[in-house]
Order: sequence, then structure tokens, then C-alpha cells
Amino acid sequence: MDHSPQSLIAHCATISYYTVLPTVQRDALFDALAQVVADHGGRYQLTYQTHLYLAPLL
Amino acid sequence: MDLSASFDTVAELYNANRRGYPAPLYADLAAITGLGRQDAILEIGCGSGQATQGLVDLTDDVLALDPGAQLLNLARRRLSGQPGVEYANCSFEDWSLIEGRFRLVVSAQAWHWLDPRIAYEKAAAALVPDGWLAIFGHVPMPPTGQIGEDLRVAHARYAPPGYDGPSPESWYLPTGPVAGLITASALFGPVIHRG
Repeated sequence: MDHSPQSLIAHCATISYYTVLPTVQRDALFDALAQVVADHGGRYQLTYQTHLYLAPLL
Repeated sequence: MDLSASFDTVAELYNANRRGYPAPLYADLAAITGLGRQDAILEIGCGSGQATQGLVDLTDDVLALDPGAQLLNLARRRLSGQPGVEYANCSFEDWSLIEGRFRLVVSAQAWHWLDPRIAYEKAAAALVPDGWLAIFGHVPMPPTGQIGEDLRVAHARYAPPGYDGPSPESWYLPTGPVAGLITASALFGPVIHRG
């Protein structure tokens, strides 16, 4: 997923371990993360793996 | 605040910014389990319906649970007009068990929130005798290069200890505990992994 500084922060704002941070701390962290992306050309490619586990009832 | 409940406070953001699941995952679900259109699916923690859409494409009988009322509203909106799906606004732990009804119990990115003392036994009880448990999730890969290092430094500076390490979603990696926990339940197995 290709992120701008803004979309990365919007994504992070949906993640529980960020949302539970105190607001001041979270805002400072998000500002810093957005600045990192801005400093690297304004784009950040976040890649994922998807894993599926299936098991039959015994 | 219960961490799992925190999603409901950002329901619209969640709906707009969380990615769905790839078509091959649903193809694997159908092929491995032999799921038919008449088979019932119980989805645990449906959120705003990212995975529910793919499940409704597999069968005509989906019951989707989530404790977040706002998220469920978004799921209803996403699947508006789609027959064959019902919703219940509750956690799996609080859900009134319907024994032996479902061919597949499935959880997308939510199983790690459940109480393991309840989850495996209750999932097994909800299944028909030839039923299956399916657990899946996305794992963001650690950023690499200089931007990865700079993001790690920002986490180390502004976030609590541990935030600069592996994400909680790493739980779903093959090196994580999922397959072992399923096996240890002695209720399901053998575990098949696709990823």
C-alpha cells in the first residue's frame, strides 16, 4: 500500500496500539512519522503478508 | 478502554484505511473446506465487513459478529442489499452459542483479541461435525532502508518501549503462535497454512 504522510497517519489512527496512546504522545508520534515520510520524498510503500490457517474439527 | 473496543471509536477511519483480503484466500477457503453455498459461516469480529464481502460470495448463510456498533453499521452499509448475511452486535465470548450449526468459523484479524480459554471450545461447539476453523490476518512487513530506520527512531523517541519492534500483527506470521495454539486446543487439526 502506497502511503503519503497523511494516509500513513490515517492508517496508523486505526491501529489499537496507537489509538490507546495519550493524545499528546500520539500526536507527537504521528507528526514525527509524517515528517519522516515527507523527508523521504513524500511516499512510503507499506507491504503486507497475508496468512491463513485452516484446521478441521476433530 | 478495552483495546479491541478501540476500533469502534475510529470506525469510519478503519473502514476507509484498512485493506481487504485477496481473492486467492477465499478460493483456498472454499477449496480446502469444500464449502458449499448452503453451508453456514460464523464470522467472528467482522469489523466494517472487509472480509464479510468475500464470505458472502462463498455462501448464502453468514452470521457476522462484532462488539462495535459503529463498525457493524458500516458493515451493513458495505453489504447493503446483499442477501444471506445477518449481524449480531456482541463479542464472540458473549454470543449465545448456536451449537452444531456452522460449517466454517472464521476470524479475519480478530482471533488474537479473543479469550483463548473460551474461543477454541466455543468455536468447536458451533461447528457441524465436518466443520472447519479458519483464522487469517495481514502482517505489515518491517520497513527497510533508511526510511525504515528513521521510522524506527521516531517510534523509539515518541512511543512507549516496544513500539519500535515487531508489530502486534506479527502474531499471524508462521513463526507466531497461531498454528501451535490451534493444535494445543486438541479440538482441531492438523493445521493447514497458506500465505
